[in-house]
Formats: sequence, structure tokens, C-alpha cells
Amino acid sequence: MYGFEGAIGLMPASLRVAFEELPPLWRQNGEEFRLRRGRAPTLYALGAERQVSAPPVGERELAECLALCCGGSAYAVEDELRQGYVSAPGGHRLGLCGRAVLRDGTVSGLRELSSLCLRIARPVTDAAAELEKLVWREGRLCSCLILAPPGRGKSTALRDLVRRLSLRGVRISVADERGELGGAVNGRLSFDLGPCTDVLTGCPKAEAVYRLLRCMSPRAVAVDEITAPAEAECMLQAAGFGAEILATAHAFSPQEALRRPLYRQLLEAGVFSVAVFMDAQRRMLPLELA
Amino acid sequence: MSGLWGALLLVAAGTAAGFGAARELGARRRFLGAMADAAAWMQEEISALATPVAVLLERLSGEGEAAPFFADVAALMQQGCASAWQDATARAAARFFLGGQDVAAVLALGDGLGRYGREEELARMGLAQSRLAARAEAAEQLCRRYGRLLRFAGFAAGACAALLIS
Repeated sequence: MYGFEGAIGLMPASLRVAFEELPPLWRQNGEEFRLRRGRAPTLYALGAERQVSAPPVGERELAECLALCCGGSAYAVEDELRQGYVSAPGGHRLGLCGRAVLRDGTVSGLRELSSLCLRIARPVTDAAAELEKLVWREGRLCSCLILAPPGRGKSTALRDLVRRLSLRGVRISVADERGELGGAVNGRLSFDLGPCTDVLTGCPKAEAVYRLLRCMSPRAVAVDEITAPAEAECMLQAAGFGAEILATAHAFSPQEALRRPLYRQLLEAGVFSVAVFMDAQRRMLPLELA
Repeated sequence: MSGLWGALLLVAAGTAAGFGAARELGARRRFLGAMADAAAWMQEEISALATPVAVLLERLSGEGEAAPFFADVAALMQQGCASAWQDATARAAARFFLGGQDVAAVLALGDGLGRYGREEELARMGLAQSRLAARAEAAEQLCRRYGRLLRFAGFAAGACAALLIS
């Protein structure tokens, strides 16, 4: 179910052959499939959208792709659909666009699907080799914040770091609100997060961290993408529970990260012993923490 | 002597035909009843746990009168839920002697299964369950009214034929 081949299995039957016949270079480097109503499907690979020789995508193809990604049970992924995505088997992620249905001012669903974006998941087993050395020092675990722009591989690095630490016997709890770290589908994880890892999927991050700290007594809690003040607040409180925090956050440069009040507050409070910025070559550059 | 054997054979054949017709009514009644129960159980599962369709089918395939039907749907799911449900219904119609309205009620349960949000799914399933329960009730009445009669009629027809020939 992993990688390009697994993602092709989630495409509508009428388009699969076209994707299977793509050049090997595109297949190896493909990051996203995009299906837009009335247009030929595309593959995002090597920094550009590549048009695939296939008939234009219609309503039927979009519905079929969605059904395949949600295992034919839209009601089971209703909360995800409301937020505009579906965690598909194999850890792939389907993003949806269409007409939002509002109820009492909040989005209650999507109809009239117009485009889909299937992000291809690939397990990377050396994404955090460098980072592990910074976080695991002489048998001591340090809290760590991974900063990088979107799409650079923060989640992949965090996932690999969790797996590596778990293999060392560190008990880690993962607050996986959007299923990006574990890719849990029907209770099974799509990615290997190691033997000592517990994953809470679908629960808002702030609440998940409290639950995990209270119920699973982890040595570390992993959280992907800190974006809201409530999440930062729970990190501050979690530090008091004695568990280390492994987290990621968006930042386009180390300076920008230090300017943002949300992250500055966490760094100044000493929640993280290590903060790294992933550069364009995906190297981990440690930040100087006061 | 051969006349006696012939008469006995006629009575046996008539009785078997009567019992066969009654068994068909019973099979249909049990299947529709099991489908109505399954629909009610599916509603409870979806309402409480949002259990995915694949898991529902797996559990329903395990036991009960409708287990072969759900096993068929589960086995055919690769071709899509709607198509799998239609094919499995066609097989069940032959196996459980379903009439046109019965088939329509079974199809209604699978029509759009898994394509809606929880609220719409439950509303849709509620209607389908009512339809199935109504068909099961009709089958029950038919069975009660004609089951014993068919068994007796088969025997009586066989006996009459034997008398006429002898």
C-alpha cells in the first residue's frame, strides 16, 4: 500500500493504466496525484505538475477515488471530510475541494467535488539519522522542535525519529490528530513507528497531549505541526509532567521561527532543549537557544 | 403390487413438493427477517462507532441466515459496493426465493451505502430497514397462512393422484 504503486491503487480504475505507464523517473519522484474535474489528471513530480495522458476526470472518477480512499465508508471519516481531507490506507492523504456545506456558520461537509489531491506517502528510514544524534545523547532524551517550510519533510523526519527512539526502548506517545504520523486506518498503522509507540489518532492535539500524559505515562510525546496557542499552552504544561516533547512547526527561516510569539514563548520557556531548522537539502541545522 | 408402489410414490412426490414449497416460504421469511435485523444492527454500529462498511460486512458474514449474502458482498467489494450489493442480491434472490418487492427492499439497504455522512446514512438506512421489516412481516404472514396448508396440499394432491390412477 506504500509509495507510488499503493497510491495508484487508490485511483479510479479508468485512470490506473495511464498512471502505471508513466516514465520511471516520474514514478520514483512523484509526490502528488491531482484530479480536477473536466481536466486530464496530473502528477506532481520533480518540482512541476506533469500532465498524464488520460481522458478528462469526471464526477464519477472523483467519487470513485474518494470511495477508495475512505474504504467505501464516508460516514466513518466524516470529521476528516469536514476538514477537507481523508487519511487513506497506506498513509496517503487525500485533499478535497468542492462546495462547502455550512451549518450554523461552520463547515459541515463538502459536496460537488471539483478536485482531489492525493499526496503519496513513502516511508523514509533515514530521515532522522542526523537528528537522532542531537536528541538522544548518552542515553538521555532531549525535547526537540523541528522547524521547516511546508513540504520539506518535517512529518517524515518526526516519524522516523519516533521510530528510531522507540527501537531504543523509549516509550513514546503520538498525538496524531490528522493521522499524518501513523496513518492509522481501521486501527492499523500504515507506518512503522517502532515497538514502544502508542498512537492516539483523530483527537485535537491539545487534548490528545493531556490524555496521553495522564493515561499512557510516556517518556516522550510526539506532536506534528504546532499551530495554535492552545497547543503551545499544552506543551508548556506537558513539560511539567516530566515527559519530553518532540514536535514540528512551520517556519521559512530560523529567524522567522524565533520572531513568532507562539514558538518564541516555547523556546524561551525552555520546553525544547533542541531546535533544528531543515534547510533545502534537508539537513538539520541546530538553532542557538538562549 | 406395482400399483401400490406407484401410488406410494405419487403420495411421496406430492408431499415432497408441498414441503418444498413451504420450505421456500420459510427460507424467504428467515432471510428477510435476518436482513431487517442486520439493517437495525448496522444502524446501531454506525450511530455509535461509525464502524466502516468492510468491518460491518465481515461481522455479518460470520453468522445468521443472511451470512451468505453478506459474505458475497464482502467477496465482491473489489468491484465497488453498489455493484457488489447488486450481484449478491441477485444470488440471494435465487437462493432465498425472493420476489420483486423483496429484491427492491434488499437493494434499498445497499443503495448508496457508505456514500453519505453519518446523519444521512442513518436516515437512509432507517427507511431501508422499515422496508425490509415490512417485507419480513409479509413473509411471516404468508408463511403462517400457507406453510402448513402447502405441506398438507402436497400430500393431498399426491394422494388424490394416486387414487385417480388406481
